Amino acid sequence: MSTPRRFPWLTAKNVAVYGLAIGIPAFGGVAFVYKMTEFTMTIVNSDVAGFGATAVATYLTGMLPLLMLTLWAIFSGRFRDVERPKYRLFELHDEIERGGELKTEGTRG
Amino acid sequence: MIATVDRRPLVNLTLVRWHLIASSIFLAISLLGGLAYAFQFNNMYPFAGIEWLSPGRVRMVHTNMAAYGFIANAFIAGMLFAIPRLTKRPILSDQLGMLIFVAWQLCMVLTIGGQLLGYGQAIEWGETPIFVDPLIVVGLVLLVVNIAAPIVTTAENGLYVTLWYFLAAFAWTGLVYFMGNYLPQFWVPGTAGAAITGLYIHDLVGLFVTPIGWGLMYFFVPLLLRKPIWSHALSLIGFWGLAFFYPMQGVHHFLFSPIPMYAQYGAVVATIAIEIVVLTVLVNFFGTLHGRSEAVRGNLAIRWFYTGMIMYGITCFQCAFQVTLTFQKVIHFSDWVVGHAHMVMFGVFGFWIFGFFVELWPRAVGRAWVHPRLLTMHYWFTVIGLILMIIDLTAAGLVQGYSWGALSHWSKSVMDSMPFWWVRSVAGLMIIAGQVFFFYALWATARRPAEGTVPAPIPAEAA
Repeated sequence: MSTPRRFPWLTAKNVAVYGLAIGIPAFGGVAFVYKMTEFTMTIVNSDVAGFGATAVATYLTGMLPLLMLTLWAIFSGRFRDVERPKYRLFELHDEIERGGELKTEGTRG
Repeated sequence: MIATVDRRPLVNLTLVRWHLIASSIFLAISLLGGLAYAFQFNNMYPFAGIEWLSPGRVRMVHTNMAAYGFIANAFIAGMLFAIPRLTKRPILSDQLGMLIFVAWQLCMVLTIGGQLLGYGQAIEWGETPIFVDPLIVVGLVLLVVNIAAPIVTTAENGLYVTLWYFLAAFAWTGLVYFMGNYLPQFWVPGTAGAAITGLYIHDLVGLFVTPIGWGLMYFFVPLLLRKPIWSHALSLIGFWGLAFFYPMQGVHHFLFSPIPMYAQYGAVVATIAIEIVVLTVLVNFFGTLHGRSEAVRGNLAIRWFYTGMIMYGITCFQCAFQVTLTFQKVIHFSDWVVGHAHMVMFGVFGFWIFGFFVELWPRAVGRAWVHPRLLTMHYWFTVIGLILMIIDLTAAGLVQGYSWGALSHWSKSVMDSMPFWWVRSVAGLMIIAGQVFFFYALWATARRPAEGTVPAPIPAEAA
């Protein structure tokens, strides 16, 4: 009988997933914070006033729909069981391939 | 209000079929344009002296038809297939779908005509004529309304990562297209306009092609391998990483330009951050393949998908280096960039699309593939041809870059490039030979008598 592991959650998969979950925002965030800081300093400098405004405004505008999407997902419970959708993909596929067993999802008011 | 039962098929395979047909036609046009342009570098341009078929105009047709004709049509077909099957709801309107199909092809024809007549817009990847741009924006909005409706109204609770990628692409594509085609042209001239153009060039790849491409991969690969994706959480990390860091890297197209250095440095760091995001996606897909690797040999669609993924890994790894100022000193304006672009647009997304074709075409025409061996030949001719082209152009870029860096005479770099340009043309011919097998297989399969060997359309709601 094998002895129980001291840290059962410490699997290679968890290390990879959580490591990247922390590492990516940390590394990418450096670029973001740097750019925004420099941008703030630029717009108060009259020499290049307004140069970055359009580019940054475009970036922020692009992020706005994504932010809305995130809020919608959080409040509609899309993140409650994060691994569940990958299994649901197969349930849906098998249901459709068998044919004729879809429930009344295709109704329109 | 009385609810009406929707008895349409869940997936409109007619629309899927038409988009696939259009995709293959524009692939043929794009490849012929590319080949003609390659011959220009061998002093044997086939349309010499004909103004409306001059090389500069034909090149625009080559790139625009690859992006908006070949890739966009195939991706629309893929989404028309995947979204209803992930949401259990058909698209909003089949009639609107057909209208969008016709309008999109009209836009492509107008784009070709406009560019050949000299009305191409002076924006890289945005050369669609000014008078076509509003039609494309309206078409994109209608497309989003039509195919996002099932996602918004689905009763499914957790959103699969494919739908996350699609939603992001829907949110961005129209915006990106409008930004890139209008702001530099009418409102933001000069270096600020160049910064936006850089943003557009890269956002077109990163916020339109990449999310839809990866979204479709996350749909097809697990199903074909009969194995769930290694980690759905990791796939979402990849998605959010792409979403927030990709839009910052566009300026890396204009290193050493008058654009403020903070924007250039920020773009370099953001690009390297994206490589970590790329790593998450590759880890996830190769983790999924673990234990099922025999599928790469036995399933042609999977082989196309994973070949494209390896290309994706290489191109993104290449990207992390070539955005540095050190690399840019050598490769800027050289054929290295052309090789890189071919690896991304054709080696990654084109290969994935061929995988979709392998899987979707039999369903779309209701017949099994008639000559599977031709598809294998298509794979090998295309892959070997493209690898040859990439190696050749990469080497050519280094020769040109070092030649310019040494302040050699311009004509010397041209003479030194000639052998590489010959190899490029041969590689292009090889790729086109592969597509001849592919087009014949498509045509022969569609023409064979129906045998009922592929699944019939499934009704959205069983009566």
